[in-house]
Amino acid sequence: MMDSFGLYERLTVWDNLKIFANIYQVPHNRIEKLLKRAELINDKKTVVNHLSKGMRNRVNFCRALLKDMDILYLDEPTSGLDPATTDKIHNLIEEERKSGTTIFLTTHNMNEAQKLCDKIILLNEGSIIEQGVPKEICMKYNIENTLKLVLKNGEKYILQNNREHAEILFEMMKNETIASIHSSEPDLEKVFLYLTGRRLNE
Amino acid sequence: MKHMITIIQKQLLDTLKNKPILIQFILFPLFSIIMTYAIQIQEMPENFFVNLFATMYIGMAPLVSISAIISEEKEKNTLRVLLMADVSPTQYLIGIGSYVFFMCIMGGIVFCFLLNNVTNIQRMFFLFIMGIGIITSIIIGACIGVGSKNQMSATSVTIPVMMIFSFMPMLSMFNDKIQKVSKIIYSEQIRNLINNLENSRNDIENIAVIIINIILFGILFMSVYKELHADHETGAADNK
Repeated sequence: MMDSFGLYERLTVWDNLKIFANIYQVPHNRIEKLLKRAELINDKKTVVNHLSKGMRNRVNFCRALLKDMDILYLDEPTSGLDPATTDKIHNLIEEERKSGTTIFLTTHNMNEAQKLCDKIILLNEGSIIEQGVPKEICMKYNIENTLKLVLKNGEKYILQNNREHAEILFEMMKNETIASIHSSEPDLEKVFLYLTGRRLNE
Repeated sequence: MKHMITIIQKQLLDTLKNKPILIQFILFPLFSIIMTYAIQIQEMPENFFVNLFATMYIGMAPLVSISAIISEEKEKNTLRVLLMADVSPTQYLIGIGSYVFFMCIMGGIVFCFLLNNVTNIQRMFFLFIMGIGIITSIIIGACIGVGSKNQMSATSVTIPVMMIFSFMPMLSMFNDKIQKVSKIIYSEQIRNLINNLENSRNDIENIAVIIINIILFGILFMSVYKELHADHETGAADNK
């Protein structure tokens, strides 16, 4: 699935998918099932030119799923989409992943990568700068290793994540004064900025 | 074969919605019908408008249509999607070419029926000559479409080329100097053949010029086609 739609704009959603169903020699009832999954069944007779960007993206996604594939390449599937449509696309990707399809996803959205991917590769200027399981990468770059606490009275504390401060944390928890606790491990976006920013300064 | 049929079906679906292309297919046959029945001048040669518009049709409709279709598909990325779906460039081009040929031959049949005082064999020969001309124009249009990056650059090449092949035969009727130059182009020779249906089969010079045009444009097409095929292979190699 490419980032450019490559849809026939004068044809309907159904006709666009039918063309590729014929090329892939896939029965036409599969189109119906995919459109239902993508919540486009009521728009199957709509001309592609009249669809929103998010809807075109979902049509594009349906086309990518027409044939049962072991491997699926998705190039920026949610680029430029609103959060609601992005969520729908993510659900479709998750369903495919759970069905056993291996998905190669390229994205600039680190949150998306963190949410959807079992393994990631970070690229910068054509070179791999990090790869692995997202959570492990975030833990690896948890240089601060602190806990940020917000108490019920609004006060904020930063404690080191070690034995010395464990007592303080325990006391606060015992007294039920804590409103929220956040660990300091960075998200992927911060890891990427950290890695590439550091390299820019070198 | 199935891919080619799918391409043809796709184009047939698009035909009524793609008005600029539809106009190309129906304009000159329509003009021919109107002019043949609306204008009756005593000294006018038999089948004047049919032959005139048939020649212009051959030089314009297939050439403009196929270059527009291919360049639009390149610009909108739909061609890339087709190639990545394992439709080969050859299958695509034959599919599109077949569609344009079919639509233009329908126009040719209209011209055929408008001919007066000709035998059925002459009508068949007329249609056959039109078919040869249409195929030649398809090759030229495919060169332009394949060689252009987008619709705008295709149009900027198509218009002057179409003017030469479509209008020169018409202008050569009124100007001897233009006629001397236009002798080398296939559409002029086709005009000569369809204007002399009863004697055409004996005119070797006409046929030779047409064949040379087909060969030259065929060679040009092959060199341009190699570029499309190379892009397809490069795209496939990059995706591995």
